[in-house]
Amino acid sequence: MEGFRCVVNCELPEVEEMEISDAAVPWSSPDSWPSGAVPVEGDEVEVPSGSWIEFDIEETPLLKSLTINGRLTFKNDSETPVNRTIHSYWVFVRAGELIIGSEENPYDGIATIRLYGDPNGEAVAFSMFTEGGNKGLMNVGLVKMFGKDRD
Amino acid sequence: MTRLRDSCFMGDKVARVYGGLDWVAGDQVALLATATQWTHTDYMTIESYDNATGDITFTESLKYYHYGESSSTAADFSGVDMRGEVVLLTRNVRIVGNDTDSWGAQIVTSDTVELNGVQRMGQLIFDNVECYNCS
Repeated sequence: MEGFRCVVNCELPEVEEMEISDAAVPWSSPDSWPSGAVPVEGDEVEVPSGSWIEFDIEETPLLKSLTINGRLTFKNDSETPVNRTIHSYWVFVRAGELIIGSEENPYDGIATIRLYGDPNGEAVAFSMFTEGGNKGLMNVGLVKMFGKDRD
Repeated sequence: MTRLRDSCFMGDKVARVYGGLDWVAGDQVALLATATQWTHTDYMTIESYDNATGDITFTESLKYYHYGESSSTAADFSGVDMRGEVVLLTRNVRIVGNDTDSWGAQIVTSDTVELNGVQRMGQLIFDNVECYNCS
């Protein structure tokens, strides 16, 4: 028999859910974040409920985690495609949305979510019963990603 | 996905598929196994692709034999095209597990009930998304 000790998300604080804003704010602006600062290495980043953040930089520093309770989209420029990367130990889409490209307009550059973690890292749990591993894209919300159809 | 229009053999660096694809140098492709060993899939990197003839040149040599014909074998095999499949693995939207102690990443979509009773129903749509070192 194997037991898990739930370290991260078992007693998550409630999300006070708000309607997502109609206008996106840029990731690169300190004003877009409740902390008043753009995320730096090792941060436990949250896209708060109600906010719509547009990922407009080329890459993040290595984040400890990224939790999405609002909406996160990737800024796309079809004229001059930009490659964008999120570096994080894990990404948890909880009461929110993670969207890259759209069905009509697939993303034009290279969009990467690079996940880190080793065999001994702490695991994430959605609840007391659902374990999500320690290196992953965990989703109980909405994830939509559209790349270019190349066949 | 495209099909081999000619058989290729161990040691070959060129495979003939169909023209008109937008495959480019540096793309990763897989030539699926066509013989009795299911493990005989070749993972190759494209060095060049001739859009007119459909010839792919790889950066390295093939390790295994792959069956191909100039046209579908459907008429001879009860509607089944037996020719080897060549699939493109490279995509521009990627979920990547960083290689740390060969520990892979995972993508999990799930329903859950939070402590306060809020139910969440995970939804995921992937269209042309590449998952690498990841399950």
